[in-house]
Amino acid sequence: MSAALAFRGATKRYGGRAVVDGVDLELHGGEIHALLGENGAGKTTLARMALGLVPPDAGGLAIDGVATAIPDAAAAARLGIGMVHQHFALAEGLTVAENLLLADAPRAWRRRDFEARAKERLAARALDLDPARRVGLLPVGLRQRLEIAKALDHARRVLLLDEPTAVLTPAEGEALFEQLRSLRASGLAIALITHRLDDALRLADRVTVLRAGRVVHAAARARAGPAYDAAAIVRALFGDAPASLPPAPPPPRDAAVRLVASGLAGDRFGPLDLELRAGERVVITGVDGHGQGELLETLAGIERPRAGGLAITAARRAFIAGDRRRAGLALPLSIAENVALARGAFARPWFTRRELHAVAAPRLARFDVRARGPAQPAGELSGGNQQRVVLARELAAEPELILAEHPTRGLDLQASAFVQGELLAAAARGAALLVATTDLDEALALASRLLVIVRGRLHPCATTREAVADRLAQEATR
Amino acid sequence: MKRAAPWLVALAAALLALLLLQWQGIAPARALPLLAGGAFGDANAWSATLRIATPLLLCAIGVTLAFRCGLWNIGAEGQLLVGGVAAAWAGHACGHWFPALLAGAAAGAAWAALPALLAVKRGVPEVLATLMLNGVALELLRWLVTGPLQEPTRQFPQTARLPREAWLPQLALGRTGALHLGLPLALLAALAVGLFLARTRAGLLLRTGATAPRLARAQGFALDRARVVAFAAAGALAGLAGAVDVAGVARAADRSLAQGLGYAAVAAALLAGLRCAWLPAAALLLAALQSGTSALQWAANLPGIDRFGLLLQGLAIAALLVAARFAGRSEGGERTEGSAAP
Repeated sequence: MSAALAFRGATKRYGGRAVVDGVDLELHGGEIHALLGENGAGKTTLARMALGLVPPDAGGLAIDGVATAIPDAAAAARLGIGMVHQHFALAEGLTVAENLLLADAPRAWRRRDFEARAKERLAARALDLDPARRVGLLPVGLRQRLEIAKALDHARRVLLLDEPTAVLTPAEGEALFEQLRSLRASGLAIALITHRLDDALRLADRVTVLRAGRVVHAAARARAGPAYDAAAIVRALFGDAPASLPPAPPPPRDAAVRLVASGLAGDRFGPLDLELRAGERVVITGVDGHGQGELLETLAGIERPRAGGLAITAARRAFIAGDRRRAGLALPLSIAENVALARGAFARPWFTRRELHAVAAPRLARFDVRARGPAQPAGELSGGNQQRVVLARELAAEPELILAEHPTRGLDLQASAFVQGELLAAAARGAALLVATTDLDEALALASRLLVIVRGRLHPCATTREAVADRLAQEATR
Repeated sequence: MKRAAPWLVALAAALLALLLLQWQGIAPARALPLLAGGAFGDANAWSATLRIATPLLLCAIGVTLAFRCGLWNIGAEGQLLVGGVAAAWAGHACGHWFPALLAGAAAGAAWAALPALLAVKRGVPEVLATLMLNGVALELLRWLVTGPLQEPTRQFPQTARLPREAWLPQLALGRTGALHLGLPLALLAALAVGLFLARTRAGLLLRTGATAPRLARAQGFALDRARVVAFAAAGALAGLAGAVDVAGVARAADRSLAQGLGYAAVAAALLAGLRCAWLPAAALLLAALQSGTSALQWAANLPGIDRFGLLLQGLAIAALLVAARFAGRSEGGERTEGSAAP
């Protein structure tokens, strides 16, 4: 049987760098095909090719075995290819009916006819939704079902889903999987783009792993066959270069306890126990979206825990937020102000212009922030310099506890090395360090103790690449 | 071209306004001196302009304080109304202007604290809540001045006239004009709020909270509580505006108290680019437009009297705002800046 949609040597380059590099891939009717890969692996670019949004530089696509060009989105729709985007393409201010019929709504429908038509459509998709309901008021899971219903208007042949579970609660995820299974039974070819291994392993008939634009692993599961070789998939995801790092020195046994969490739970993590001692460097790694962000924000005191206890015995704490633009910096404020808003920067509740400068200048200098001057708004700086401002604020006061989420995300190699160096130096001075990162190299470089997070639970893990891969695979298949 | 754009806009608006006047049979050569003279022509004109500018400035400071904290206070109108009524009551009851001002500020604060609490605790958008409460405040005032707080003769829908001791101390200005204590108070308030925002840790973290609430909270700052307090302070300033207008000019509270000053305050705040240092100038400019156009109406005996004045003011405000935005000054608003930054 020829594939409903096939990529044949598909290649796309941006500025000489191949984002998708000679990819051969087949999507068959009646199958769910998981496309796995880290950020920037080329998954989304492939999907955009299928939708006619990105023309391939070399190679091409085939429909039912016949080479076919998909020049634009309308052509993709004609060919029966539809997509559910990670960030829904729904108009939140409009009603369910209006969203459903947006594309083909004549102008003069009466409201009642309009909603009756929408109701028919919803019924045909087995969706129990009030057509007059405003989309912005729907829970995310229902919004996604509406988005799928809309996509299915086009997707007679192929349905692409981009990170569909990223925004869903576990229960909503289950409902989605159920729906996808029934769509598979109807003969649709489904491509599931994800970086969540557990979703892929549970649902997919085939798995393809992309790294740096190339297919690095492909596996199929017979209908009643055994599970995948999860460890091999994880190795493919993260790269299988051997870890050549020296073993981290063991944490001092009698060091002071800085943080104790017992039975701590939030909406997306826990319940979990965690103890952190001075000088210890604990790294939480794993695939993004498993609750690590919420865990760190809870430990930092921004989110309130749903249950459990948290005791922190560190007067000076640092929190390096993963979302730099909304939690790391106040972008409209000046660099100096961003540094000076730290806890304990001033002795009094007010300060003079000179005091502001006296607090900010040495910190900005020590962390080598490159800017026009201390009065420049933080929003005007490059990502690397913004992160230096964050570090200048958070690390300058010799913190006893450092919580950091994706501390080097979006930074170039040099800036990353600088940030990691500062974190290690702080730990060497006796700070307890807790880092959450998806970058395995970073995890191994920083960790004296490694924890793997899967579905909000922490699992201890040896500090080697293989151990992490095994552990992730093991937990994801559980 | 880009540099000239705001001035072209302003020029076009001015031309349009003059054309409208011409259409009403008033030549520009006659209109412009009337406008300017009505606003700044003599001591009386100055007195009239500053009378409007004072409560306008107080309201605009409150609006600016809230906006800079990322809170949308469109409720200065209502806060001013309740402040004015409270001041009329307290001034009459206590026979002194000081408790009248205190009561006005307290009433404004309470009126603003309600939507702030709803926003913080229940996520009710404060734009809507403050806007709706303006209508409630007006009806409340209407009821009070025809009911429990009506003047003793029960003939007019207004509160009892304040005794002399409850009038704000004032400085004679020209023959009939006067300058009351409200103006220095308002200028002091602008300075205080400006310093609070720029030179205190609470101000810094409140501004941080406008775009990065989690960052403010991570510093151990009780952001929600601070926001309620800041919003109440904004309300207190608007309430104070009502109080100084009652104790300094009107001597009694009635329905004509606010007359859109609370909304003009939003325009003044935006015009000043949400910067406290520019607020007095913005308030003075808008007040001058108002007193100038009413003088123009008087002298020229225009039909549809207040409507035409409003039209001219609206045109001028729109032109000024466009010009200010082109010039990049109104980017002081941290919310707008935050969303526009790369």
